[in-house]
Amino acid sequence: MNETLANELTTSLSADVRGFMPELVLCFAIVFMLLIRLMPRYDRVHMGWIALVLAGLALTVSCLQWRGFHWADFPVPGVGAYAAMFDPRQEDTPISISLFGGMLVYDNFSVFIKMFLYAFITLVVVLTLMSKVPDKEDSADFYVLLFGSTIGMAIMASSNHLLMVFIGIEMASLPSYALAGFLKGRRQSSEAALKYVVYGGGASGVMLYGISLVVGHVDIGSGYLPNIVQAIAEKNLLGSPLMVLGTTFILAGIGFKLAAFPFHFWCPDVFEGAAAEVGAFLSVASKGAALALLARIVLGIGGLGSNLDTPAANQQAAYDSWSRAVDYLVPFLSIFAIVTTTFGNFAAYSQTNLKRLLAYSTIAHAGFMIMGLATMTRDGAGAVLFYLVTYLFMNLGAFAVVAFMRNLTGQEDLSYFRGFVYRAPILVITLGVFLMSLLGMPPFAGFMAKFQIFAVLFDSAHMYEREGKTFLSWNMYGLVVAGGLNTVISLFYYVRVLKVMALERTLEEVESRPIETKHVPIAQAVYLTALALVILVLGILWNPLSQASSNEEGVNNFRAAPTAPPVAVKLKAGGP
Amino acid sequence: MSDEVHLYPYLVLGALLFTCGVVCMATKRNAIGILIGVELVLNGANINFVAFSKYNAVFQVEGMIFALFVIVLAAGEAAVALAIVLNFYNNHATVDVDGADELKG
Amino acid sequence: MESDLLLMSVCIFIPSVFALALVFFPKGTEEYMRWFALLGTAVTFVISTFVFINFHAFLEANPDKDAQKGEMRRPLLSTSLVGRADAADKLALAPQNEKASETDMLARYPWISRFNIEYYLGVDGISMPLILLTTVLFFLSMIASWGIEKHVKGFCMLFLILETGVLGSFLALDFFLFYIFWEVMLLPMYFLIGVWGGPRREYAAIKFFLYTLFGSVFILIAMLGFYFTDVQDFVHPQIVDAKKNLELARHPNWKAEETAALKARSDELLKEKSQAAAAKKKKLPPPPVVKRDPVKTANDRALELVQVHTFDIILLSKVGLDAMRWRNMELDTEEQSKFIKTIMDRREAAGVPTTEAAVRKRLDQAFFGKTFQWIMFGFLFVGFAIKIPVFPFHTWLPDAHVEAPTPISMILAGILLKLGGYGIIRIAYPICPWAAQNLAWWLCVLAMINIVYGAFAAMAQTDFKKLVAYSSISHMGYVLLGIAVWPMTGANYWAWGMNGAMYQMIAHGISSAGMFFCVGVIYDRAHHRNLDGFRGLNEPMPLYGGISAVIFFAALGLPGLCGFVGEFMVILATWNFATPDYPNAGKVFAILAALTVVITAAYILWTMQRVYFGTNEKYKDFPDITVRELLCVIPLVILAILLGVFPMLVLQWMEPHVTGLVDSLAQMKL
Repeated sequence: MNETLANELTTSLSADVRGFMPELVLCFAIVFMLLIRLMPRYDRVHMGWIALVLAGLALTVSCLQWRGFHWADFPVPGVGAYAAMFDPRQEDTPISISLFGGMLVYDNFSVFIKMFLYAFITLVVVLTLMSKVPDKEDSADFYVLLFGSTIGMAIMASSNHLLMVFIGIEMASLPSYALAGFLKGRRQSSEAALKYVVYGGGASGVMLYGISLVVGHVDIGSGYLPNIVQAIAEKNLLGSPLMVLGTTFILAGIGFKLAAFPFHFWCPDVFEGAAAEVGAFLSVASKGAALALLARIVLGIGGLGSNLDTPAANQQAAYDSWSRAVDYLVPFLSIFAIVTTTFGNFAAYSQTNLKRLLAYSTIAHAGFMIMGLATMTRDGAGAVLFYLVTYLFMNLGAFAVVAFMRNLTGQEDLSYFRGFVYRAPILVITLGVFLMSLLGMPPFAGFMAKFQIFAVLFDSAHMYEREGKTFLSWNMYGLVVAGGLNTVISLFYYVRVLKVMALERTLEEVESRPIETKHVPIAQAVYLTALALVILVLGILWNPLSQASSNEEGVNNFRAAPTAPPVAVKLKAGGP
Repeated sequence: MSDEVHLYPYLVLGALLFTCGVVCMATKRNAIGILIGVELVLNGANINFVAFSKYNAVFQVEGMIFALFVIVLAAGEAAVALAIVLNFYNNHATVDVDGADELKG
Repeated sequence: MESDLLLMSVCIFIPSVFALALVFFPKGTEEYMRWFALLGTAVTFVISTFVFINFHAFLEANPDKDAQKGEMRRPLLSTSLVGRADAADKLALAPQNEKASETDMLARYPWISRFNIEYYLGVDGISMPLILLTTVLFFLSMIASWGIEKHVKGFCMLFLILETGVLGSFLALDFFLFYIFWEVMLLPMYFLIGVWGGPRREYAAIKFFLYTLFGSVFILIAMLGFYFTDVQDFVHPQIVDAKKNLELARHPNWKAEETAALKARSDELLKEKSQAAAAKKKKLPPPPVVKRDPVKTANDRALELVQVHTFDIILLSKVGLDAMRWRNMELDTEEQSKFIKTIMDRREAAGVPTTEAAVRKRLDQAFFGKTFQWIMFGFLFVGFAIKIPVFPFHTWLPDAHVEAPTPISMILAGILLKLGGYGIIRIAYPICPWAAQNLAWWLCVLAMINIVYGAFAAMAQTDFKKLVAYSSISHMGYVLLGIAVWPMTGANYWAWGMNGAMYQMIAHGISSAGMFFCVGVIYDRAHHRNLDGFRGLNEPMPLYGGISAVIFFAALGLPGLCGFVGEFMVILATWNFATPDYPNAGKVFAILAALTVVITAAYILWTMQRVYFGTNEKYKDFPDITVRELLCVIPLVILAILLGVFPMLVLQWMEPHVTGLVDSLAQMKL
């Protein structure tokens, strides 16, 4: 047995490494940035540029993975050959291979999320270069933590085994605890980091306990997600109280990462205390990875993962398990989503600190994305992917504006920015674009994302009605109404920010002093304008992205079954 | 002892540790006390893993690997958390979490 | 791209291009910015006249050849949007793949294929006058905005983007595209009111934004509800065919499975036959015949999966009409079978057959049921009623009008209110006619409340602008009344009502823009709007007094000026409105509406007396109307008189399409 296990691990090693290449690039980046400081000449170099190059390299490799089969005949030699190493897929069969003996899964969904993550950190590194938040001495630490967290998130998004889920979450969280407290001298920063680590430790502990209950269940006995899903399907384990408890604890842990109500208490404090760049990173990347994980687990339990090629004999059992899972999970997720969104929107109303306001807006958007998952369909996951990509640009832009404003004025409180449009127009105009996109106004990309979520809710309502589950169908309509009302509620605080910055008179005007315009560096203006333009263009030409993230391309095809079945190693009785 | 110990006592022990840990996290005011609670929870889960590994033939190797990794990760988490508590102390001169109240609730 | 699509797109987006170009004007060139923006609105106006000329030429090319000698040659009803859409589809799907007609002022271009959203533009008699009104009023308002001093660049840019949004809403024939342009209007208006408005501008702006966004969410939900209806029985069968082929391509194994299944079936049948023959030979009773369902071919399986969804407003109107027909045949099973058979034959002929059971199942969809129609019409109506505005969603209007600067008030009253009426005529009524007809009485009541309440409220105002705002509410009540008088019994004069409503929209656009401009002229000089504080303005400003008189009389509805025609047609139609429960409802409404004209006259004449007549020492030195102001208001005066004396100028090419819409809806009996 040991031989076969060893055999299996070594033969697939080259394929595994190729699949894991983007993360390996980031690992190399971490090692490089730490070691290069040993040389006295490079002791004081700002690591930002190196981080940018290496993040870009990771992004390139990830894109090659995504488009592997299309780039097989790329004219540059080597690229095509490299890209062709990834299985060229036939029209209907999506890629799905498992890496490292079934620990990580490599399918379209995970590759898409990873591409999204790497694109995002490239943009975040550009932002940090422009806003100069990590200064030279600390820059290596900052980027190492950033990349480490990203690797953890990549593992979260592609995990196929509950141990990897836990490792991924821990690896994503620990560096972000440190990132939250990065501004060592600021009292608020240390307070934010303390709150974060205490909550995070608790949440991950609870989640681990839940994992232990699920994994050790007498009928499951394995951490592999497809095995768990299959066992749940075949033996109707969702009725067992231990399983329910375990699953709830796991979902609580993921809910913490997502900052969903009621696990959100860390979110506003951490965002307010940490630097705006860290806030940008956490709000998009950790949410994206957490959503990917939630999608994988929830849709897997819902039976979508394992019954793609179910032989006809088992289809009735698969349908039954899907039916039971859906009856339990859909209302649960819907309530989760509605409560999160509504709470986020109402709490944001009274905020005056910009970062806190954006934190609550982040919570509300996470709720929206959970709505997409609450449909328990592949189209729902596709809509969430689209939302994540647009959300990347909107949120990054909003936090970037806050960072630049802080650099210009040293303030983060909204009341300081009265009439700011006359002092730094480009900042306020681009902030207007980002906030209106977050609100969901056409023609910006945010509206297209919300529209897709609504469309998928309607579609699934019809689908549930066809399947005879009228309660779930009404559930979906209720989500639509809740989503619409929440959009209107969120109008208040988004427009209030714009109102204060654009409509109110500046202090100078009231006191009849001439208004001094602040000079915004050209690089920052270009960065913000580029982001705003992307949002506008995505709002008009959103078809390609929609196709890429939707069902047709098989992105979110949860073929979580590993190609190499897990080896149950039985030790001899009486052995060690 | 002629009677073998069954699985359930171990699970109860794990649950006990888990509950102690959660209560510790919820009630302690000292930040390090809260971290002790976290460690208790993680170790409660570890006991579960090892117990399942012994009593579930399919899970033998996997359970032990789980436990090993959890020990490592718990250690890493404790290291980072203690560093953060130290930083907090440097800024606030206390490890009492009630002192962390500048960011509004 | 077809030339008509290009022309219409240019018409929509040229203001935005000018707005973008304004970014590069440096600070200090305010005067150039204004002239540049004026040039932008002028160019848009010229292009919209091109669109009109093309449209008119198209109508002239398709006249009613059956007109009797001496009768006016009117455009054929096949020039309506439905007819043109059908013709365009035929061309597109014809085997020779002919190029689409470039003169029919209707064009589509695929945009988001995942959701079947198209970039679909078109004009007809309903939208053309409104488009011309839009471009004229934006041009005149730009002249009126010479008084804006602060942040001219921002003002001009937002103004031009607003024009793009409005023109896009009028030209869009795809519901999603319409919705996008509808929302694009919100943000510029918010800033235009909020930055350049009066003392309570922030409150007015946020109220406007909130109300309209609230309504938009309703429209969005209705839009999605329509989208998720499977309309494959109502599109051209070739579209269903194409989708079926797509499904077949996605499942290549089905063909193999079909052959295998057919072979297995034929084997079974052979075996049965041989068994029967053997039994016969042995003189045994034949084995029982096994009843088998027909083998499912790959075609059938593909067709099962095909669903056609659309945002196309014209197609949805067709489906809405059929929904009404189906609802009305509820108890008549023979009619039902005939209806279904027509659908099945049409599809059979194109090679995409369907079964009666499948058609019935599709006709059981929510869209064809009463609840859905009620709810969706309600949502759409609320969304558009907020814009009109209809009591009780009207409270944003007085605040917005009072606080907005003069040019924005002109735009708001002149055009933005008409978008609500246009939305109801174009979208709400055709897609949900069943609910519209059943709710007609309630809509009339709401309209009457608008008319009467608006008139009385206007009478009580002391703020000049607020008075004009409430008179707007009152006049838009006539518009809603004209749309709503769909009679269920008795003579059908609804065509008069619809045409009257359309004409009233144009007339009110002209007169209310003029009224707001007149108020603005005084406000520029006196810096207050208190009606009791003015008197005797005719003395220092006689020319202005005369022009105002014409505008105010037009608003009053004096025969010979534009306001009369619409009101007259609406009241005429209302007289003949009757429902089974209230056979005399129309007469009551008509009498009330006519009496309200007296109230309208009262407050307008009283206002004129308070403001213009008499003598006043305080304002003796006011300068008379300047050349710029004259340039702004004279076209309105000319239009007011012209449209009052020669209504056929507009009616002759507007009326056939409006009447066509009415006829297609009203032929359905309840």
